[in-house]
Amino acid sequence: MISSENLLDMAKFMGAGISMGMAAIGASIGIGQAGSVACAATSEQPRGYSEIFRTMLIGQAVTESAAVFALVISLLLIFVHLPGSNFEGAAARLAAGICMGFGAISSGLGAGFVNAEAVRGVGRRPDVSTNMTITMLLAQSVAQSSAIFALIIAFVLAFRGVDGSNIVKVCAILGAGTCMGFGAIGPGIGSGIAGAYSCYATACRLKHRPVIIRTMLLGQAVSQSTAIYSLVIAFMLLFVAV
Amino acid sequence: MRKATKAIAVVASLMLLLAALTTFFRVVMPPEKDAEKSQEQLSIEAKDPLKTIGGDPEHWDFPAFDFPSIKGDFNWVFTERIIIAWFVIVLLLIFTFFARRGLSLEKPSRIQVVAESIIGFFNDICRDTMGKEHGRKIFPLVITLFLFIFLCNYIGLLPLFFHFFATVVAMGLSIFDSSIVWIREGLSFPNWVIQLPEGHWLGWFARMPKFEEPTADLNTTLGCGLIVITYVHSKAIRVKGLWGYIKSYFHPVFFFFPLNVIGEAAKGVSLSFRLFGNILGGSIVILVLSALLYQSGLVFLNQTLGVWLILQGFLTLLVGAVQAFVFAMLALTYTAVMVED
Repeated sequence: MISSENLLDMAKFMGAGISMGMAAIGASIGIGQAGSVACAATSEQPRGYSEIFRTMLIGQAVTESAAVFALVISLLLIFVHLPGSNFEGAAARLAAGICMGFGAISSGLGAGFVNAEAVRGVGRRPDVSTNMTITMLLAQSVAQSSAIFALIIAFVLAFRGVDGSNIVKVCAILGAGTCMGFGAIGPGIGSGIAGAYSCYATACRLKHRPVIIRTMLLGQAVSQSTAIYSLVIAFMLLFVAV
Repeated sequence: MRKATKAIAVVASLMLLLAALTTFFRVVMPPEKDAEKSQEQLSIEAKDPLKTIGGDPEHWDFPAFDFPSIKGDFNWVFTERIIIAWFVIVLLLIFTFFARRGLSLEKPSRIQVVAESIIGFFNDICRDTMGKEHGRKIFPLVITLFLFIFLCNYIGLLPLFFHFFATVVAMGLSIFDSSIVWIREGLSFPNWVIQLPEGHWLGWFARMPKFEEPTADLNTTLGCGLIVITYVHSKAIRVKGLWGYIKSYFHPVFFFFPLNVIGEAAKGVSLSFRLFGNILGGSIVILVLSALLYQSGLVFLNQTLGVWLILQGFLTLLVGAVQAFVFAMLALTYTAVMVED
């Protein structure tokens, strides 16, 4: 039979693998997209190269942060002695990995998309690159909030210290992690699409920037509501259901 | 543009210098009094992490940092972050006091120039977004939120400067003061340590623990979020009237009412959780990565500090500033949205 320690080790290694493996997908695609658009923008506006390059770098650094959080969850699962034991503790470790892994995919995609269009906007109007960078950071932060929710659920799962072998509770814990993990996929990409074209639109019509940003934030906020639903259900499963 | 790049270059090189200094030199606490050890034993002990920066948490004695804990029905309530938030407020008040001192149009003081640039930046944004009169009313909220959250996110860096100060001063003082020794035997060059005598005044600076950021606690961020939500909705009611405000929830189609309500709740929740998650996540990332680097045995504790510093540079400086700005901007934009349609 599998001993309890082996079970915990199994779960935590699986969770760590899933977490970093899935999270690496989105961030890389997003960053690469920004790089390609930066090259295209430079070819159209070679004099704006320094602004384009700077905006690209800043945006890429922010895009990377969700993958860094997933890396931290992986390292936490592998190396740190977490509370929780028995079947439920194993489920909590696995759920934490799933939650953060899937949650970080879309954050990288969405934020990278925003970065790409913002760089294209800077290529169109390099003289207002500061305003463009601010708009881009605003849009990226909202696009990444679903990954932040997944991070919170992953921390709650990892540090909770559950003890026991109730199969119902095991399923509830796994359900909470899966809920938040998959629930964060959509909002990130949706908010990213909304933010991306808004960033380019501010470069086209700089005078109407306040209206554009307002519309973008409204669209992003509605897109984020499904992440809130997932967060609420995940909390309910963890603390209320069983 | 060039000035901003130059400023960033100056800050980055300062940070690298700090990393180099704290990587190669560090200040250690004296060994235990009852043991009489040889120099070799001392140098082995000097590598012990519990005796160096931060030290053993159980033996910290900071009379000034003796935070009271309140035991209630649920759990301990740790008041450390509340007191640090007060400290941030005191810092802001000192800043504004000195900014107002000697206000002049022809010869502004340097603090006045800094304050004016911050205020002008946010005033322009508020005015562009909400028009002159509304923008003027919301401007104090926006800039207060920004400054408070900004300083809260940065307050974790303060002990670092104290430690740097302790290192540099100890290095200088070791020339004159013979009780401050350099331990070199048994350690290769990057790992020489400076040992302070017992009860030396520099020990207070060298031992300073990390300041917990107030915004790494959900209580602070939820408080800020509640302030924003209360302001947004009360302003919407005041501008549109109670009936207009309720009608706006049924706005596109009649049955959109629950979706709109949940959307408003989602705005409030996401505002608080975004700030909380970013700052708390950043601090845990720094902690875990530094501890892992140290435990891998590849680097000594002091070299870990160099990595810690560079991580801090990105996670604290960039993310802290961005999140503070995003919070203030979202407060402004939510008000604008609720007031407009």
